[in-house]
Amino acid sequence: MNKTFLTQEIGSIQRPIWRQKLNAPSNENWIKDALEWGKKFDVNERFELANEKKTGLLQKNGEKRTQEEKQRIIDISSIYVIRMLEKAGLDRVFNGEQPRTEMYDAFASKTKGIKTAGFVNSFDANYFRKGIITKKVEISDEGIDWFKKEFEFARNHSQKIIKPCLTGPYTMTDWSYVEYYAELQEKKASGNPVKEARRNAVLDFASDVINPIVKEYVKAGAEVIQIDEPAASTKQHEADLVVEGINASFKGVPRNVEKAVHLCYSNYSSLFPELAESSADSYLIECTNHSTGKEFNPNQIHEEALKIIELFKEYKMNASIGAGLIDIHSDLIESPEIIRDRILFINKLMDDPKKVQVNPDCGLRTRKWEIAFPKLENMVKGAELARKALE
Amino acid sequence: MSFLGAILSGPVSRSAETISEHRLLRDGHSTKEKFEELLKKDAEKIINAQEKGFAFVSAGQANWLDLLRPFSFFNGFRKRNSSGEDSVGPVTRWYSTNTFYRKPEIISKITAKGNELSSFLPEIEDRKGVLFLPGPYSFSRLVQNSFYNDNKELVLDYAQAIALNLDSLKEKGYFAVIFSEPSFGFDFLKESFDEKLLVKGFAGKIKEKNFTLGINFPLADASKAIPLIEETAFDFIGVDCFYSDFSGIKTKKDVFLGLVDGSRIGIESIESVKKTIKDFKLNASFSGNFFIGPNDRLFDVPFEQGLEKINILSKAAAGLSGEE
Repeated sequence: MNKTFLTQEIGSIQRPIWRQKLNAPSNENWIKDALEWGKKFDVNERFELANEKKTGLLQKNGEKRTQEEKQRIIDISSIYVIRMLEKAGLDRVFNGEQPRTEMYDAFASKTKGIKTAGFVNSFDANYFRKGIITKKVEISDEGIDWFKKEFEFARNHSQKIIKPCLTGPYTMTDWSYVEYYAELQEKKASGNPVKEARRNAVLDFASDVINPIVKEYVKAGAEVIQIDEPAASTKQHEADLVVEGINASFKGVPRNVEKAVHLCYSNYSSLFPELAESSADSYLIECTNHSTGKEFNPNQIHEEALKIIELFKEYKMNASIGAGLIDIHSDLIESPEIIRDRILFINKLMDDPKKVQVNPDCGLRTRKWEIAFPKLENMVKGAELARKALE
Repeated sequence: MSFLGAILSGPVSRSAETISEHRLLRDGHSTKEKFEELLKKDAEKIINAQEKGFAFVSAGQANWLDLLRPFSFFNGFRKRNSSGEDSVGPVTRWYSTNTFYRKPEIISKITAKGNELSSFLPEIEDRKGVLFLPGPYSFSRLVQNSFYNDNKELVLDYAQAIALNLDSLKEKGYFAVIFSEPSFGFDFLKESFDEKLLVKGFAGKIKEKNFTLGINFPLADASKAIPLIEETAFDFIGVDCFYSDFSGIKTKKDVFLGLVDGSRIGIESIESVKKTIKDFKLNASFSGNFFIGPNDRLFDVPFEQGLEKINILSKAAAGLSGEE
């Protein structure tokens, strides 16, 4: 799709409490909440959750729910998010990662060779379950099937373009304790054991965990596939490894499928010149985190975002920028006019409106639906205003 | 050369139960009171794990999330126009980890009322407490400075603000501060290191009788840091045993040996702790006294493994007591 200022989300949307607490007893507030949002988003399946006959899934004692019933709640939660994103008017949608626990665990739990260690903090109330790699990593057949079905479910419930997202190999490595690979290298006792261990882990994650899922997406007809690499710039001397991981993950993807990469909270400039060798078609980046305020000054775009655009030009990269124009860490709802100004500012730098996509800085999982939905609505309105301004 | 005891060197992770409650609170399904009650329990467990062999104890600063968190309560920092936990500043990566901190912005001269830090800390009863703060150089690198033209001035005002907090800290049972300098190793490698910011006057401004000051250089070679610190008022210097060249270490000060790895999941053995101490004694030019502890915060390992690491330190320290 070559639309000017195409709009999309990044990945995660907050999971409603009734989705989070599948085993918990029914709660009137949860039911009220589910019915109200269901009505707002025109989700007919809301009556499967709760109805006048009191036969809804949420009206049943949580402990007595069958596995099938729990799965249905997860599916309905995905439908809610798909409708939310459609209602907001986005061009590309997905399921808000409703079936997934979170971006690391969703892959670690389906990968052979990873054992759970426990939780560590990421930021604020966001934590991730860190894993220990105990043997060579490889996605299980069930894992591949799980991601394929997740994609097909979203596609079957929306007329919009589905943009599935996958946690990248570098991030999976960086967020794991790479014990198996480190011990292998220590036994070999040649070269730099840590560096070699991380390299082997990244390449195994790319070829044996992520790429098999990417291939399934392609077979299932995906038009765009996104790889998330929030850890990309954590270790500047490994920029080459980040790029090698991205390219190996996308290996075999045909030209007509957009290869998107999401990078956030990074020193983007530290990824150059290596990033110029990446095969990705678009980079969805954070532009707003450092500049939230009620009054928007275009110069407040995150300076690292400005640098990446400059570097794009310097290295003559032909890729699109997905500009993060919503701060996912703030409850402030950006007005359409602020979004428009931010888009036009980025557009001026990029000098090609077809190469400017519009999205939040990162997943909106951090915000309640009361905040996330109007933020997305305004983002879409802002994109429309920006298109008009260009006419 | 006497052993002085063990000390932690930074914040500790939260338990799975507290994490679950924190998420519920974020999503509006729990109360602050319930969450704080669990934080308190975590703090108790962390303190209990330090029962034996620790020179100073810490509650793990479990309620801080990052070392910069209380600073927006000092005068001179911007209060963001938003609510809740995001009121401090933008989310920013904490060095080479997947943890992030809120970057506070300085918009006017830093001053203190005197109780900003103690209001973020639990009372330590019957023992001497230690708290962890960013070192002067790292502080200047981690904040968004929109006021000071001279970073040295910023650092000295930071010192003054801490000095004004000492009385209230002592009232709560705190008698030691370890300043953490992760930026040292980071910037030293990138050649953007500005040694002026490890200013002599910094520790002098804070130093008081009965208050112990340490400075730690996690993930850096302490042999490069020590010459810059030797003549300052810090009482002891941290040596990251996983990154330091022991043979290059020459100091008259006491040292803090970071010999439990805060970034790896494996639990060290008492034998490995003893071996590191032995290697240090054999190779470093050193005649002072020593503490032992983790090389860095125990924030990149889950709570349970963090507690196990503290237990090993406690056991090793109990065995080392009285060692010359």
